[in-house]
Amino acid sequence: MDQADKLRGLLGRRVVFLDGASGTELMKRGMPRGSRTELWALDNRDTLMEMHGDYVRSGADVILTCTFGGTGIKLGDADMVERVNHELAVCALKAASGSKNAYGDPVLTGASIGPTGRLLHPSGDLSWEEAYGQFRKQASALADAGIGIFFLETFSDPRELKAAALAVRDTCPGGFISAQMSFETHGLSLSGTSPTALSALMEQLPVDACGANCSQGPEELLPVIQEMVRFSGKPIAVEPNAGLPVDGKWEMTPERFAEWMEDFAWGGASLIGGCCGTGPEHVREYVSMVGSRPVSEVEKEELKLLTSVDRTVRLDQGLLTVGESINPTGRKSLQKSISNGDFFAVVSLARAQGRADVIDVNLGLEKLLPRGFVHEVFSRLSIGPPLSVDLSGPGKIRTAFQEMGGIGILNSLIADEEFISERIDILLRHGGYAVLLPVDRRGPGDTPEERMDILKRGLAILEERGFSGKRVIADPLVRPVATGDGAGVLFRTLELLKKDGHLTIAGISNVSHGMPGRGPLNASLLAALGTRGLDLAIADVLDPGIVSTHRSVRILDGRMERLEMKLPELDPQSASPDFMAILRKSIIIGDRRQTEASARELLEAGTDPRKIIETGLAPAMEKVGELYSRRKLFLPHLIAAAEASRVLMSLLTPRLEEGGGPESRGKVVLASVRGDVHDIGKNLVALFLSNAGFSVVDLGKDVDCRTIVDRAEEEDADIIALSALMSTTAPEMEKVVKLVRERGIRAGVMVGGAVITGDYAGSIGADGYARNAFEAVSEAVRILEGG
Amino acid sequence: MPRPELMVFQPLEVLPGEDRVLARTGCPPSRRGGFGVEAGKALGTLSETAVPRAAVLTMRILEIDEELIRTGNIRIQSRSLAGSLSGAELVSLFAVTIGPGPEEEARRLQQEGYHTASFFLDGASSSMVERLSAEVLRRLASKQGVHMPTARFAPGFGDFHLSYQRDIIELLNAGAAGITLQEDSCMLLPVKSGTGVIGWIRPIS
Repeated sequence: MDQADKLRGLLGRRVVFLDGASGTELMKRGMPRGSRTELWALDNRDTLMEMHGDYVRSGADVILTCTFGGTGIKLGDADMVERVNHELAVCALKAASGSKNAYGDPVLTGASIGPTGRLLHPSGDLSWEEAYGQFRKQASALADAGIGIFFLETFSDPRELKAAALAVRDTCPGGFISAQMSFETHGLSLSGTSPTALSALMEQLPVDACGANCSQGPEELLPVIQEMVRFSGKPIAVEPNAGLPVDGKWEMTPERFAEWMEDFAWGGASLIGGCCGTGPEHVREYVSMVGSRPVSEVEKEELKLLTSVDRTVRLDQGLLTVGESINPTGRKSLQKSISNGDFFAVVSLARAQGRADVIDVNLGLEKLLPRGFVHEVFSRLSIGPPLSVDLSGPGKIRTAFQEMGGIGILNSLIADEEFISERIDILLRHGGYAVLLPVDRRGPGDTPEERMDILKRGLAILEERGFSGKRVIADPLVRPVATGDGAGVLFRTLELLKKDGHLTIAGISNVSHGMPGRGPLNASLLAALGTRGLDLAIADVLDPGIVSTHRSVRILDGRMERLEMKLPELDPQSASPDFMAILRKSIIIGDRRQTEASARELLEAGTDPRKIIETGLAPAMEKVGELYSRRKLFLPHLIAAAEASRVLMSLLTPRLEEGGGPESRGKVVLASVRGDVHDIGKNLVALFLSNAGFSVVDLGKDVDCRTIVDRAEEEDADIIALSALMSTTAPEMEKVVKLVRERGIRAGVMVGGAVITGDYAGSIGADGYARNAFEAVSEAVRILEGG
Repeated sequence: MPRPELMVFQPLEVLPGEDRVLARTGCPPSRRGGFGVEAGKALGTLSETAVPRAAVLTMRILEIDEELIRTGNIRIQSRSLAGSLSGAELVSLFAVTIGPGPEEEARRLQQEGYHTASFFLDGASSSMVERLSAEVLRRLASKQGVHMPTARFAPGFGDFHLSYQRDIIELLNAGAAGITLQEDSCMLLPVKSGTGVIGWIRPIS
């Protein structure tokens, strides 16, 4: 039996214990701050082997390789991936070889794989395929060394996690994979993904377990795990940090940590381990405290969810709407935008339908689509409402599902073996629901009974290929009344489908095709189908009649409350649009195209560019900041909003220059400090400061203190802004402050980053501290004003 | 038949962390507010009023199947407990208490109108009983040599009926630790007390 099967067998008997951290533990054992852990470990194998040995002796069932940062991007050199991962895997395998844990079971070896550290497009410049390739290469090296167990840890973006999971599965078809994300104190990932959404997605992906690790301490992670256990049919893994570092030490003693781990075991977690700050002494304590026990039985709740990176929509809970406006049929301007490769027009149309629960995306003649168009559209729509992929070509469908990062709908399949075979593997691989039409090669069924027969044949084909009928949404088929068809067949088919317990969907607008005054007819059909139990209505959500009818159906059904807050909508139906208000909303929802269009309207109407900044941009960004702090918006939204602001500023700047040029509010020299290669937060700070009128000199990441201070002196900077994500690199900030004071430079020093606190900033003599990019702007202003 | 052991602890040895008290009182990190101060005060009171004691007895399991455990002169009918003790050779029964002091103080605070202080002291006392049980497990584990523990189980969990507390209290001679049982309800006195069962597994050779 291989190691993956041994782990599956062990999970059938009892809770499994993972080891503790590698990075922080090696640091305790002499690894200098700022080292690349994997490379240092290879150069100091005795220390690495000693650490692995201590974990084996502490009672862990599974020890993990020291390969968290083992992708080519993280290592900084793609050529090192094979050697580094292979050798580190061999070290861990050797340490565990022949060993038995405290209960006499053989100690197993798993691989740790972490994110690349770069953001996926459009938030960053990493493509999904490139991410997949990075993980594939790392997984191959690990598998070649004999690894069959993989823990994908600390991911914050479900799209990147999916790339990693599929890459590992393709490399190691029989391997054990646990797909884990890190969650913030508010219970969502940095991208805005909820534990429920992660559980639902992983339920459909080819992984063995899912879970959470890192984040903060166990207390913060407990509700996350409880939520995942409740909604997941797969084992749940948890590896919390030992609290937070205080004065260079992790705050939780092994005893206190172990008490929390017992709570996780009672809560239904199956795999229990430790992340940052935990060591063999923590493992020894929680192995003893949790004891040998079967996984706690917790009542499960099966949810049917559609998800995106940041949204979750529950099916079978009353009528939902699917916005149909992204469909170029009969829309010449959209046809033109698509043929010109203007994907922002499509994104803008999706954002305008923000009130829809799901957005349907039909891009017309797929052969004529510009290269990369599907990739651009679906990656950009990975935030916002979940998506319905109304495409026909298997290649395009594959790209769409690959990019979306959640559970979408494939619209649609017909009951034909060949047609289904060409497409269903995509859903089996990426997750998702399929719409099944009562249509086969001969055409649609004419009577309700014929339609049901065709749908049943289609279901049988799907189930034969391993696709569960629970993931099928049946379409009773709306025909145009203009052709002489009444709605009787439609109503009866829907009734039969609901009687059999199927999820259902219908394209409402089809009914009025070729008719005058389509709106009232569409609304009437929506009401009729909605009150007969239809689950999803593909409809024109920009039509106020449809919106009010949908609302009425939900009131009648007793289901008015929304699952999640939605942002304010644009109002394109308005007779006299308030373009300043539309501009503000466009920035908030990150709609670059609408931001630009609104700004052009305002400028054409003679609005002073300064007024656009003062009454449009500034309050919009203030609102974004407020929504971010209330955890209604997340990292991808921030980036999208900042990008929309940048588009606006690039439009306004030439006009401001005509009037004497924009005055810089001050010069900021910005850097991630020596040893710190994390720059996502720093880049956001740069973007926000620039948008706020500061002149920013960005020195990049891993910058030594002398370079920073030299450049600040050279530029006569007003502010030096420093970022550090890790507790190990934070002391570099103090060096910068000291050097600034020694040289008597006038610049104020402002610090921030994940581990930095206001108290820490004060303790090193910094002039300012900001928790995030928004605060960085107000803090910079405060420092300049001498506040 | 082995004799029960009386374990005595200093309050500070088993004082729970502030985080445990806050979690138990419904103040997770996101809604903690200024309640850390109240939790801190409660822990201060506990360190002065608690008298932590435990009575412990470790015995060989004489018989175990899917729903019956026989050890010493007790027969326990419980599928949940049998599942928890699966594979165990030995079993430890224990009863713990932090004495009547904390609950008397909480009652006094309540009567005098200090409701928040009383609420936090009650929560902190419950957390201390948990911590004390964990400490009993640690002490037992350190004496066990090769044997490894099962999960800590207790009457009231699953189908392990609360009435078995009567047998456990009697077998442990828990009165020596200051613990008695209310005959009608099988509740323990002092209220801030508890009982538990830990199995001990010999590792697979």
